[in-house]
Amino acid sequence: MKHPKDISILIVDDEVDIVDYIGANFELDDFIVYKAYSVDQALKILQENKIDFILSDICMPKKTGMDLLEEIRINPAAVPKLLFMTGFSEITREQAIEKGALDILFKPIDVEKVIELVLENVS
Amino acid sequence: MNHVIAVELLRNLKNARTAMDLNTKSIESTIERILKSKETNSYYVTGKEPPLLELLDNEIKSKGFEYIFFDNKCSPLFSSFSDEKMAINWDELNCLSNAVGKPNQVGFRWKTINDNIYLYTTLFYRNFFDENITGLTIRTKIEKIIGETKKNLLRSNLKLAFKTKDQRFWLTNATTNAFIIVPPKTNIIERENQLNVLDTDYYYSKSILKDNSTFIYLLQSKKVIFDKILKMINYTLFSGSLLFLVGFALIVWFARRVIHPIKSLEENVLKIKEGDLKARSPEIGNDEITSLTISFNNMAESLEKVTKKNNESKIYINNIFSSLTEMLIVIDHNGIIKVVNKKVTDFLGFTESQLVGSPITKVYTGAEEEQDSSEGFYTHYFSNQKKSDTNNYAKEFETVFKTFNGDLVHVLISASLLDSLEGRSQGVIISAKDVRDSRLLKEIKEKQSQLVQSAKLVGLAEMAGGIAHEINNPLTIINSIALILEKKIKKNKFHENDALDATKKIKDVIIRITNIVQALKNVSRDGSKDDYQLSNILDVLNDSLSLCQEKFIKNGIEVTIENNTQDEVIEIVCQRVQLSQIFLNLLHNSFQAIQDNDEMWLKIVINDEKENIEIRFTDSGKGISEELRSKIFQPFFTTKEIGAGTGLGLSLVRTIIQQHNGEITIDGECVNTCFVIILPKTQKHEKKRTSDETP
Repeated sequence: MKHPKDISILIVDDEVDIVDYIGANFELDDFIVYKAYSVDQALKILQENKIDFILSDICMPKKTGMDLLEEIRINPAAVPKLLFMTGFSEITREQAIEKGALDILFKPIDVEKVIELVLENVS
Repeated sequence: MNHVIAVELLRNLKNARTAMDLNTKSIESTIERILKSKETNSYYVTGKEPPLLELLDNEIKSKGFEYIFFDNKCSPLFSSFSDEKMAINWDELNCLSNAVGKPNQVGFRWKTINDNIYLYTTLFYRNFFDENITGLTIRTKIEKIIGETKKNLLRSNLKLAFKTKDQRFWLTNATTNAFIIVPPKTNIIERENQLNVLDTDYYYSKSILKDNSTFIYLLQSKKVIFDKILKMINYTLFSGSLLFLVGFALIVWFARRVIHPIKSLEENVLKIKEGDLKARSPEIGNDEITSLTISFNNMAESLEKVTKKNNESKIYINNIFSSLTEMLIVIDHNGIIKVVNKKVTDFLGFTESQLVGSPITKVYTGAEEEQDSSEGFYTHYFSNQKKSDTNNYAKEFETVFKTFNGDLVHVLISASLLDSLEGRSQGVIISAKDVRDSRLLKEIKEKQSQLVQSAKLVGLAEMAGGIAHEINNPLTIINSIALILEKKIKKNKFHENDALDATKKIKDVIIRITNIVQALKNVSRDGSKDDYQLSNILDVLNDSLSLCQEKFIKNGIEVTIENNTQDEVIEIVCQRVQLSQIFLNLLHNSFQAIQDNDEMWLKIVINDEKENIEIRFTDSGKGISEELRSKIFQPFFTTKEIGAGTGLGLSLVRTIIQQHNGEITIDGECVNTCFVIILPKTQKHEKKRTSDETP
């Protein structure tokens, strides 16, 4: 099992507070944290950095979480695990998994559990 | 028979050209001569009777006369009368004899036989031998007069008169038909078919005999004619032919006595016919006319009583009709309106005359198949229905009536057949109730309310994403903050500032949650029965917006509110929850309309319009076609795909705005989609409350 110091995580949400406070949690647990407030920002970070895990909202203005998932699959060089978190989405868990997502977590999410999931899924 | 006399008579007769010449003088002179003559004896001596009688007979007959010789007992001795029936009645002759049967006198009689008038001239003389009074009657037929005389007059009291060439006037006795000689100095006035003899007026018909000197008069007494006419009048009266009376204008008293009362009756009959039931005729006299008048007056009085009673009944029934709380319409079997009560005219706005006589389709729109003809209503519901078929005999259903202004109003109809005495239907009685305040309407309203409620729920479900975000994101933040604090404390990295930052953030997000919960509560509950209260329209708008703001933001739709009024707080009297419903609906509609557009924005502008405020909802949509503009406010109209919406949205919006005495229209001149809402700042008839008194 990798140590959190070796795990880079990208948090994507259009709501700043969500990104910041969840990010703060990961940082306290020694993860390498990247923050993005839109899909475009996330894609830019992905291009420039090695990301192991993505925690992303689905519904966002302009490009959505699903758009992000598509982009990751087009670029096979680095295939980070992606976990969706959503307040409300018309996309079902099955649809998300079929597209290549790890899972969908429904807000309000317990950040502790998310950290466990990341540790489990990043080998 | 004395031959001497016979010879003498024969001589007389030879000279006589008419019976009128057989006067006493000639007889007297004849007798004188016979007495003095010796010739007669020779005749007598020779006993040659037959030739003498033959001569006499021939002589009389040659003059067109008939004759009878009779003895002193008035028994015929010999006669030339061909028919014994035509002979004079000997009893009458005897009377005549007693009356005028003096020697050397001539009597006249007249008689009608088979519609002919015959003149009998009787010569009375003293028999030379036995001195008995005997006589000779000569009969003359007066044909000329017969032809001019009507049968009916012959049967009446006709008199015959003669005026001989010596100007003597002979007149028949009224009782015996015997002639009397009017005294020579008697004034006889003859003028224009009228004759006055012995103070009696006669109508006459005159003709002249063959001798050109003797006139024969047929006389009819004026009084007799008068009496006769009176008899006819009486007869006419009883036979009822009143018009005949008018012809007898000369009888003035009669006119006064009969025609005047009848005129009065006639006038009063007309008056009664025209409705003046107080007309009465004077009851004067004691005859048939008077009893007729009394009967008439009685009849008029009864009629007046009955009519008064009828009028009272009519008024009573009319009062019942107009006091009915339900509308009452009676139609005939052709669907033509016959009767409406006051409620109908009040409710529908028509006048009575506009409805009565018109087809029922004027107010009843009904099902399409009923609109083809005015009989539709009748045939649709009641044709082939029998009285015994009680289930179909009366119908109760809900329908729509059309008012004078063309508005449609829901009514509950109860219709039943109107029976005639013959048992055949005369039409239909329709009783209609304004169901706006009926139990049924309440049920309908409840159902509508349920429908609206479920529509709201559908709307809420559609907004669930936004709401979920609004609640779940803050909760996620709180959860994260809690974890951070926990971790910092464990790792001894905790600072007081961290705690202050955390509590401030937690308070912020709790406000977010509180707002959304409050808005959710405001929007989702049924506020239709809330009191009208003074509310800030901006708050109401924000309630709605907060429920879907997240959704708009997430989808990149820019929402702006522009307040063009002078005030920061725009207070209007309204049902706050209801208004936030309509704003939510409009927001939702805009969202659905523009979410896939390249350009996505929504602008809400508030303008002050004196007594009203104007709220313009404009989004980046491309407007609504003119064709759709009239339809989109109708219930269940939708352009969305099946399942995407109930279609109640804009219909509900309009209903609520109308309840607020406002209106919603579409600005057709705007290049984008623009809904314009006008809301009055105050409500005239609603209870006002301040916004402090929260519902």
